[in-house]
Amino acid sequence: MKIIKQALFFIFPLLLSSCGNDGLPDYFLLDRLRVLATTNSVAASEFSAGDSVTLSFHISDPKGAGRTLSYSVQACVDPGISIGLTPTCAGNPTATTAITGSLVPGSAATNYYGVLTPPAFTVPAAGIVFINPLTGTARSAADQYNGVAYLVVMTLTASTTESVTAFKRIIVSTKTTKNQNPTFSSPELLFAGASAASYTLTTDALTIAAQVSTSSSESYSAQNADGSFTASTEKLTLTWLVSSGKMRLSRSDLGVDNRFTPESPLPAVTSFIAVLRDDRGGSAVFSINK
Amino acid sequence: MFLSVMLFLVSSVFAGSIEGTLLEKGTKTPIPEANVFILSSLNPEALKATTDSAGLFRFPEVPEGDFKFIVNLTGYEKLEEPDYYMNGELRPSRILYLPKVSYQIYETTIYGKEQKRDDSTRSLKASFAAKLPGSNGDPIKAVQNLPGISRASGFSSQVIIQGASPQDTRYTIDGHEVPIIFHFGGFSSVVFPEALDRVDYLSAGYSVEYGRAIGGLVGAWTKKPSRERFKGFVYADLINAGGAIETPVGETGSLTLGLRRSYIGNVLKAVSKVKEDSDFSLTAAPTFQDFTLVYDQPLSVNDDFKFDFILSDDLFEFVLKDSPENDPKIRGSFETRTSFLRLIPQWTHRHDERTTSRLSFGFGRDWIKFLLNDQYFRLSLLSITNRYELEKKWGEGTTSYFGLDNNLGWADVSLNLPSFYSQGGVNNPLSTGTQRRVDVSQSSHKFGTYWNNELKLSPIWSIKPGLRYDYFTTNKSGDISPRFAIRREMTPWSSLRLATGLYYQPPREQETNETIGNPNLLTPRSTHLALTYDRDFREGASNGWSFQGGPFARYFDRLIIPSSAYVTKNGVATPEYYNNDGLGRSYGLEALLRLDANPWNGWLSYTLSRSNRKDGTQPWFPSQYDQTHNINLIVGRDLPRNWRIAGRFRYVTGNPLTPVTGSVFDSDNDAYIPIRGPFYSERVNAFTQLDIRVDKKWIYDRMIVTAYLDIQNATNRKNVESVSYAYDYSKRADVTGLPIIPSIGLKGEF
Repeated sequence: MKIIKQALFFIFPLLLSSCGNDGLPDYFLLDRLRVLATTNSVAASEFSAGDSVTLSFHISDPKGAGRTLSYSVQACVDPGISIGLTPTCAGNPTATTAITGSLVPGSAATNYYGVLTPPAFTVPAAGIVFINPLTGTARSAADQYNGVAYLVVMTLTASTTESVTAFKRIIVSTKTTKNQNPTFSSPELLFAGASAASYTLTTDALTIAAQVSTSSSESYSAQNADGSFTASTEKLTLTWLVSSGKMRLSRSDLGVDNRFTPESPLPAVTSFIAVLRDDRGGSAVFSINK
Repeated sequence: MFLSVMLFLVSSVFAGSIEGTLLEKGTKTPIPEANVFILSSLNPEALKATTDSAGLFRFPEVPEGDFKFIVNLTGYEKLEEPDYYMNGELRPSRILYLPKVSYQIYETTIYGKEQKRDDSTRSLKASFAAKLPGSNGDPIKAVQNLPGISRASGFSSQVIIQGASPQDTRYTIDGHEVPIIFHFGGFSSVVFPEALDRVDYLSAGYSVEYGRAIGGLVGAWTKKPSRERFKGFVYADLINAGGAIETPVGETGSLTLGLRRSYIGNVLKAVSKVKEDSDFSLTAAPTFQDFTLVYDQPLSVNDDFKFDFILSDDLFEFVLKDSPENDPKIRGSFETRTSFLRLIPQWTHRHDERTTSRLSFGFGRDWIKFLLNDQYFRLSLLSITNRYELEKKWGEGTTSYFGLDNNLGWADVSLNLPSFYSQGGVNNPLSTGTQRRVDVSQSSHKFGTYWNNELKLSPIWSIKPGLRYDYFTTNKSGDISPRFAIRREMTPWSSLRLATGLYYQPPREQETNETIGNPNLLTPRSTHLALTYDRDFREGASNGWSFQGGPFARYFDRLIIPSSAYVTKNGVATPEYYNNDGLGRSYGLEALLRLDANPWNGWLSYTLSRSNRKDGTQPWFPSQYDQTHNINLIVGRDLPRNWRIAGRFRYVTGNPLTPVTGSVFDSDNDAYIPIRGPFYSERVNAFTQLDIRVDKKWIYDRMIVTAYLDIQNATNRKNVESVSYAYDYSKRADVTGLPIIPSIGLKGEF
């Protein structure tokens, strides 16, 4: 009964705080070292025990002036991030040896947007990945069907005082029909209703939208704790990122147009990045410089 | 000469009777036992009549001619009303309206000790509390001015008692639990203020009649409706409007009926439309409405029956097009609705002079709905609460009470929400939680029985030993709570009281749920100790100072905290979700100094306290509402011509805050997970606020019109209530509380 008190207590401040200009940075603005998204190299975003997976971390370092970044990537069976554990492989008995290296993100590209692709990971066998690393006991049948997360944690370091950490869940399940990554369809972005590639950016505000292939939103079933199944359909969301100017929405649902107001005077190049995510770990990234 | 004699004889012969009624001006309350005089220029001797219980008076022989009614009564203005009598007149009987000296009387607020069974109870008389500045006419909200009550955030009116948590306070109406006591946003309580008699606040060391709350209890008690006459009022202010009637029913019954509806949401809705391009739009104005009915019917000399019907409804819908930067899932259509009703029949039977039974039930339904796009939480609860008490006076100063305090509930819960993780007051984004779906019908019964005793050992010593037993079906736990109080009368005007006891509080339903909780949780427990010194410096006079205060201490164990551990259940790894590894302690000193000195009055309440918690292996840390200093100064003055001005000043130490030291990007859910620093190791700035209230009454013979201006946060101070974070937690900004809120109201009583 008291849950509602908590809910009301939560909503009201949210309502008030969401209305104000609090001076905090905008999510859509690429103004610092960030990991923007993580994708994989194949169509599927869900795997079986023992599969090999190659991940790509999409990185932005607009103010780094092409500096070299060092990285460290480690994988482990998820100890329980969703119930509050810190997303780290430290101390996890299933943790792999860290892969380290360096990169210059998009050194050849404007605004230093680039992709880091470490060597492929091999998902452990069922006897490991379907065992909880903390208790040493098996995951439930529902957990195994819905998918257990094999974490890949990456720390990107620019200096002793500047680093970011990001992680990606490789979903490992016993399902026969695996989740597929959503995909953009051509032309991927529409600026004022026209293809972004052919649009000439001025200082005028414009409507911006993404085109997504119809098969991106998949239907699937989730197993409940009591063994029953619930049918669901993926909900796709778009994240909008830009190197200058202002996006009205940082995230939007599919079919909802966004609005972009360019910076004035117009910079030489403005980078637009759209990240498409389903709600099961699948994702796609599209970027364009204007 | 002959003519003069004849006129005298005729006037004597033609003297007749006059009847009338003496009523208080404005309220139309009959004034009994009052002397009414008639003074005539023809007759130097005043005639006198005395009113009966209905205010009726009769002069059997009034000489013809002009005269004056004269009434001179303590507490009332002197009435001199010219009139005349002519032989054979057919005028209706007279009605005299006697104006009070003041209609802004500052009433006695803390009930006398003879009216309180439990010395740990502080009571606020509703009619007084409603006039306190800053509470916007709400007597339950006014409880927050008492010592020992921590300040809740500006968006809520939760009552946090002596270092406990908000969820450790129980709310009751006529002794029966209700799910919420305040409407949305804390603007108003759920019971019509004029239907209330008093609000009780039970703190450390409260006795065994109540339980299931390790913090304390706030109880609203409805008023027995008046049988004086049919009367009522309507009112409107910037937040809501309503009206009530109070009327005799039949030969012995009486009824109060009140209805109220808010329109603060319509104002917000209009405001939200101003900015066409806004990312926030209200689809349904946040509204609340409530209905209160109280019916009283004496059944016989030894039997009284009372019946309450309370209905409350809160609705709020809006669309948020853009999410908060750090949690993309909070976006789209929101709807939250909370409704409940309670039917509370109460029967009191006096078996004999020494034995009384009190039986009451609370039949209720609660509906709670929370929707966020395709995420939802729905609860439909049928509840039956029952209280029974047998009071037996064994002799002078020796009384026993045996009672039952049961709460049966049958709930249908439907939930499809991500798991919500919060530690140290910092929430993980909802977007990063695991989706959980639960459809369950479950019962949750709480049985309680108690035995309480009052023993006067000598003229100065008395003790109150009591025992309570509770059984909770949610975690199948039975717990015994012994409680004890001892009191020493120091002088006729001062006393010292020590109270201690054990208190249990059942886990919340979701905490013991098989799917999303831990059914093996133990019942959280606390031990209270309170020493209270009372001193009435008035020593029988009506004006002067009084003091109440003393130290308190509480120790909490088995507190339920979120767990991020896995346990093995039926051979498989299962999230534990919650465990009993929480500990707590709070202690402090509280004082209430009051002045009742017409026309000045007021009080100073001060609490010095420390409240700490410990989660598992973590070191001790300040609790979320650890407020070292909490000062409430209220000063009021009655002014001539029925004006009253009052002010409240509050100073409260800033709430503790957990710093966020970093974050990790969850690339699947497009959100950052915060990394917490030491729990509650920082504080926001101290809270100060000035509230002002001005009341003015216009008194007419048959009605009273009241206007008030209640200004909350009169200096428009931007008090920090919490902080919001950048999407990556690299920066934070203060979230300030409510700005200046002037509320103007008009009330017409007839």
